[in-house]
Amino acid sequence: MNIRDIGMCFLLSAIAGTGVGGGGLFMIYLTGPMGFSQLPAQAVNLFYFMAAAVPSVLTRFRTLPFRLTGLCIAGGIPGVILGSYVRNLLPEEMLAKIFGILLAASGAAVFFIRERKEKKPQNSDFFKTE
Amino acid sequence: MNIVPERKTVHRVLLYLLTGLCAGFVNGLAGTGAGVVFLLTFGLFGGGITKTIFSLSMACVVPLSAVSLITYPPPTRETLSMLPWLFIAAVSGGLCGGWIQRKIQVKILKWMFAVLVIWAGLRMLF
Repeated sequence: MNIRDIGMCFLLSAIAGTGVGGGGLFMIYLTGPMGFSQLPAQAVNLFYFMAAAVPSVLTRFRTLPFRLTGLCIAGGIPGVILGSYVRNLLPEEMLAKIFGILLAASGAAVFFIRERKEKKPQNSDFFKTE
Repeated sequence: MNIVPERKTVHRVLLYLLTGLCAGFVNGLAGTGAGVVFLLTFGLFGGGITKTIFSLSMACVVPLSAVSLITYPPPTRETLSMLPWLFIAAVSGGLCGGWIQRKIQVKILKWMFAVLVIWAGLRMLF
């Protein structure tokens, strides 16, 4: 890893830190100029994302809806295991194309995701029925 | 906090679990895209994205990414040697980005970045 690679990682992390995204572009850099194949690049990209995301999450830790976060993670872990199983069945060329589709979809989602202002927090319990 | 307050509790719980399942599957398969699943689902059912939902998305994707990372083959010595530099660059860049976010209009940057990411994704396809 040379100065150029470190500089590119810093730049893409800065872009990710603004909240607009950045992990997908780092994959392009890993599989292109750095010469990684798809699977090792995905692993390095995951490590890179966690390194960039954890400080950001920690700064907003107190405002997180913990029960909701726990439910999403509880559903997500079996999904990760299933996705990893399917990943091991597919050739790397197909994984690269799937990644490309997801990357393009991530970019296109920006035009469809509508932002709204935060409402004042309600005092009702999370599991209260309608 | 209810992301989708208009729905009954059971429906909300099922929605959150199913959203997590889909996001986890995408993360396990390709190593990316889980955040978009969360944002699109909660944006669609919750009437838009808030800062809390952005934070929720990242907070969910981090542990899912950690689990996904375990399922990959062990790194080579060459890859291991670059990880400390990668970690330092990523953390410092992320903190710098957070500072930039408070100084500039992010919306313009977001649209430019979206076009770039779409181009990058299509380039991987062809």
